Amino acid sequence: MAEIKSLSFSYLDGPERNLNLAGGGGNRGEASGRDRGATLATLVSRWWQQEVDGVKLRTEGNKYFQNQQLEKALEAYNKAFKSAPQDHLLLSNRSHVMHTMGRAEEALKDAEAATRCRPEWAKGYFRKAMALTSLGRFEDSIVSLLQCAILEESNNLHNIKDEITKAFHRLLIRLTSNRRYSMEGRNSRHHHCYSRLSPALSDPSIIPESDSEDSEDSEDGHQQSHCGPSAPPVEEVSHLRKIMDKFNLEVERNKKSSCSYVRAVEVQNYDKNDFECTLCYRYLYQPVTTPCGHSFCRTCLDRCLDHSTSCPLCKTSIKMFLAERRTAVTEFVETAMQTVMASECQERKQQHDEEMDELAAAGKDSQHGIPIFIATLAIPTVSCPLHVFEPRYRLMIRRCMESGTREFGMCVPMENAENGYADSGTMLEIRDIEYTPDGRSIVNTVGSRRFRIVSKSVKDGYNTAAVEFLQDVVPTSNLSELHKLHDCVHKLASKWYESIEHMTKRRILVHYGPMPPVEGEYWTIPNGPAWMWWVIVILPLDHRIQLSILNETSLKRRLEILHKIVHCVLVQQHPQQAPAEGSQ
Amino acid sequence: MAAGLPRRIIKETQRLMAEPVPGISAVPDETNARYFHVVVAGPEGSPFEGGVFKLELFLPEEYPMSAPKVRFMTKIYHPNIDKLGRICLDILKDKWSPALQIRTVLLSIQALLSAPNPDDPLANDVAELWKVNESEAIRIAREWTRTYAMGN
Repeated sequence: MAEIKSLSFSYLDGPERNLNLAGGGGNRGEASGRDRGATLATLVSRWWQQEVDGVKLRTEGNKYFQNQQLEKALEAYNKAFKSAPQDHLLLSNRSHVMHTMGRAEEALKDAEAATRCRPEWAKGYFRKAMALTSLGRFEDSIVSLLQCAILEESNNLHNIKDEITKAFHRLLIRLTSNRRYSMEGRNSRHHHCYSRLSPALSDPSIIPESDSEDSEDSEDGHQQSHCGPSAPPVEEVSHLRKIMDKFNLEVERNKKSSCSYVRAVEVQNYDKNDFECTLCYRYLYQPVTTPCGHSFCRTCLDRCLDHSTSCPLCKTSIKMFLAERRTAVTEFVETAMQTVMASECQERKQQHDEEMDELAAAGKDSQHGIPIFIATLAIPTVSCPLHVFEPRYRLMIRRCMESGTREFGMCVPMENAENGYADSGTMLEIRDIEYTPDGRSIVNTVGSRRFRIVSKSVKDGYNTAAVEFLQDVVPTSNLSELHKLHDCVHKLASKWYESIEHMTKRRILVHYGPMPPVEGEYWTIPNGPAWMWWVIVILPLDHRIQLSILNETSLKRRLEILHKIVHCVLVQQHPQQAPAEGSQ
Repeated sequence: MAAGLPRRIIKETQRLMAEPVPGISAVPDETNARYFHVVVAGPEGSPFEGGVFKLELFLPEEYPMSAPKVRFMTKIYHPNIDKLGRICLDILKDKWSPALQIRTVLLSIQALLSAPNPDDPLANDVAELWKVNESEAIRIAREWTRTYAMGN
């Protein structure tokens, strides 16, 4: 027997859950055959057929109950009980139907069984409380309601609070009416004490109609109850104390009871092939399950979603699955695998880690090429927003993120070059990504290192390249001359920028921000001063010229080229003044 | 940086060798593991019965995200296969799914030989005759099978 620990087999909770048990082609007859890509429903019904039968019968019973066919509902529940005697939902529902039929003792028995099956399940205590109330055991009912209250989710709490209030009301009515008999003859000194406990208690409408058997008494009790203004009657206080003691006792007991559930699986029903990904033919790693019940490795399914929004196995549309970016790993599948094929899981994880390491090593040496995006000319320090829609680039960006490199090479397309793109480019660092519901994305990037390509290759549809990173040679002599040149070009460039027409300037500011300030010791920076790149990107230059500046690793040369260009541009703008400026 | 052969292609090839599809052989090329030499036997009861048809199957770089490329090398008279051997089969085009595999593609091609579909033609003249005069079309298909697919 292989055992699978399950903390949340919510699939068994009925058809209202998003994983439909009845559908999805759960066909037990195929258990022995090679049934590639089994759905979760198939697995569940293969492993726990009896319980699944129980759930189906229970669901049938629920329908009868909704139509108020109590006898038929009970019959279905009784049948379900034979298949799944440990199903807490069934026990709770049968308790409910018994309660409705006035069979309180049996209702109590089922409710108690439900709380034993699932001590941490709030509703079991609620059913128990209802049965206890019918049996007139008000103190015990309050204890159960309090247990329910501490377990219930906060959004359901107000109902429970109402019930607790009613339960106390009933109890106090009984106590005071008892006293009325025992203390007959004493004069009424005050009006009813409940109004001081809670204003709600004075509202007779909250007394349930079903409690009519003692409603007359309670009305009397209301009128004639006696209690002191400063000290509540001893009897009530001791009762409440008893309730609290009992409640604490129960809570302590529940804390000690272990909450782990084990559902056994017959080994012959267990087939490792069920856990092979139908996309990569390896065992599932980080299994993700589509709404149609098919599981794939997360990275495999992501890759399919780059191409199409239908399930690779059954073609059901999984558009919403993509839009909601539901990539949570299916614990059920993962737990099942870990339990029975731990070593295979470990091996598979290792494979995945190695693949990630391989991706993370991009650019470290000539063996590990960087991924190449072919779209535009990227410039160091300058931001470059990208609209990513092609499947191959979706994959590439995702890998950059998952491997943690968060960067890729950007190259400008070039018709005559090898593989259709330039032999040098700039790394782009990913700042952030915004996804659209259909899986496209806007990737905000900024240029960083420059590189020259050593060799080009292709990986899974996108380009890769072994590269050499470029950086400026730090000048050691003639620094003062370099400073002079730098200051001159900077001044000229600033002048040109000032001369730009207002609207264009605004557009530049929006896209690229203001001109970066000159850094201290700018001649030691690997890419040189940032302002130069900013000027190069806003100058109306051909890509080829920009590319040749990009490849230049001498700051002095770059300054000279830029000087020439800015001068030319100024001459074109103001032919009559420019020569004077150029001669400065 | 030459990307290695994906595990999936290795496994598919192994399984294809271990459990071949009846009536079909697919052998990877010695120098290119993505290129398969395929031989399909004409299905019984079809006009291609008795013929041996050679095909080439190539797994592109993006496989299994994109479909294998398959082509008949042996001449065949079929409404969904043109003069160049190109095949009109939905799963090789828009109906491709990465959960399909070489095996399913080969089975589909075999099925296409058993059940020509002249309503979705690739070879228009063949499809036309197939619709207007099916017995004549079948006769030609048999003749072509004898001429091109039986002499080894």
